[in-house]
Amino acid sequence: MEISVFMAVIMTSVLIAVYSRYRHAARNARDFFVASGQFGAILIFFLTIGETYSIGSVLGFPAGIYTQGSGFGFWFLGYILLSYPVGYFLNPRIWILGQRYACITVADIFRNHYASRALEILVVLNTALFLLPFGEMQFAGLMVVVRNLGWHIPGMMMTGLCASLTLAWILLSGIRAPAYVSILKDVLMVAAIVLGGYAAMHAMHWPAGMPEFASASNAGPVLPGGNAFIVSTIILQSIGLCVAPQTVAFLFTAKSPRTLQKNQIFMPFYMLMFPFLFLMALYVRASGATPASPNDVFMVAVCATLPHWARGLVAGGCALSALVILAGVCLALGPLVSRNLMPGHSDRAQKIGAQITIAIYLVVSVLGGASLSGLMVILNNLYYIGITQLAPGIIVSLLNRRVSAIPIIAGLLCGDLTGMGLFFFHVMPAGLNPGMIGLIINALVVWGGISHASRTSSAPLTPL
Amino acid sequence: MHDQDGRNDTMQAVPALSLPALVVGLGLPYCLVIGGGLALRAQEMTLFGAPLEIIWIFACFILVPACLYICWRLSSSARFNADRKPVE
Repeated sequence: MEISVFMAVIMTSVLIAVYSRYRHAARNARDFFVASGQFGAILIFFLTIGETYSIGSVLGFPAGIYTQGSGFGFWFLGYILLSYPVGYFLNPRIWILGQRYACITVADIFRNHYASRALEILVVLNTALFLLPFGEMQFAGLMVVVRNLGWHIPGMMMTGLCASLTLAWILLSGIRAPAYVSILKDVLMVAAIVLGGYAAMHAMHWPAGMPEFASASNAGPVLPGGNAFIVSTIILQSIGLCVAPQTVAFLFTAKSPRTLQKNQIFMPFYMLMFPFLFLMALYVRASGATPASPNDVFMVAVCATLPHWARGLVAGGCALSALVILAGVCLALGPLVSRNLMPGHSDRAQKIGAQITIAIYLVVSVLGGASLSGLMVILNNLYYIGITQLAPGIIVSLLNRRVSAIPIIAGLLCGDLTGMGLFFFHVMPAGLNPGMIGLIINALVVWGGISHASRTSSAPLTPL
Repeated sequence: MHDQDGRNDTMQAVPALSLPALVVGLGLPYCLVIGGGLALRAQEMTLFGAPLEIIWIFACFILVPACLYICWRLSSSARFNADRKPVE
């Protein structure tokens, strides 16, 4: 029964992807990657939501609550929630910049605004490097789901099939496939999580039978660095989520900037599924179950509380979560390589080059996912340390000042090196997130460079 | 299902940044989430088995959209007033 429901979900997603091609076959590279900027409010809403809540969120949130208690929940929910106000102000302005320069990727903004090939390459390397673990994370999550359901399918075969499906979606209709499929995925995920949460609540007679373990004093090990680390990470990641290469690429699919802005108001409502995930984590601790690893907490709760058909639904929803995210990352990464790293090719060559890049990326991710271990949160932290370093360069371009690329390049390098260095040496000055220290240094270098330039020949234009 | 939906209310320019909009739309959500969360975290209390700061963050799922909605209305009314201003 589980497998039948799972297969039905996957087949439905394939039909939706075919339908998305039938409605609008991608004509050129711009249409393939950003739908020629034609998406309305509904598709943008589901695409953005679909790309925010990955399989890592679904498995990682209960895992973190289970192992690290409320401090983890405060950080995890805080940064996602605060990315919406940041996006409310930033997204429409990035869209305007994208329209001005006919952008497809985040690196297009840097190339066109700062007129620097070196900066463009640096941005591509910076984003591509940090996108690599993102794909592996999806496959690692998928393997957790399959293992807990007890399906006797080799992990590599499962992830290989999923990678093939993702590639098929992308080849069918580019960005439209994950956008249309994300509607199914988002509805399924909410249904599965609400079902699981409700069943967990029922099973532990919550709130009448308040679990002893949930008290603050028994909430597990605290996060390193305490409150300073939590707050700095929330600020860092709430900005990072808005300047991530795939997020920026999705902005260019929108028809108007006010659509983007209005959507940001409603997006936090989707987070109302998290109380149900929280209940699932509480249930696993209350029941005394011993998951094989923290990442198994969600699936342990699902398997203990839901009937077989619902488990199939959850597995389908989780698989689509992984694949939609993967497709989005692939569609951000492909043009970064074929358009920004190897410029000067025809529209058709760019599209083919991106598709080859995507295929290679998927193979690398499948191989990496098979050997991935430990909490997904570690990879997540590394991802934000790098991606968020794009923020100062983007903000300066939004201020629309004519500045040299040199301070932006210097800031990006300093931010990356500082953040990564502190992370790998486990150094947290004042308990702050290493990425935040990197971002502050990055911003200071950029500010210093611009201040120096403004004394000579700065010519500010109208801010966006 | 089409790429575009029926709504056409958003084909407008993005309002310029203003201090009230930034305070309500950006400052207030950060204060609510981080300030409120830290204050309640220090209390080390639970409600129905859930730490208070987590309950507060759940409440912020409603409060943050409320802040953004007020910010949206502020921008819209400011532009409406600007449009009505007679040309001298």
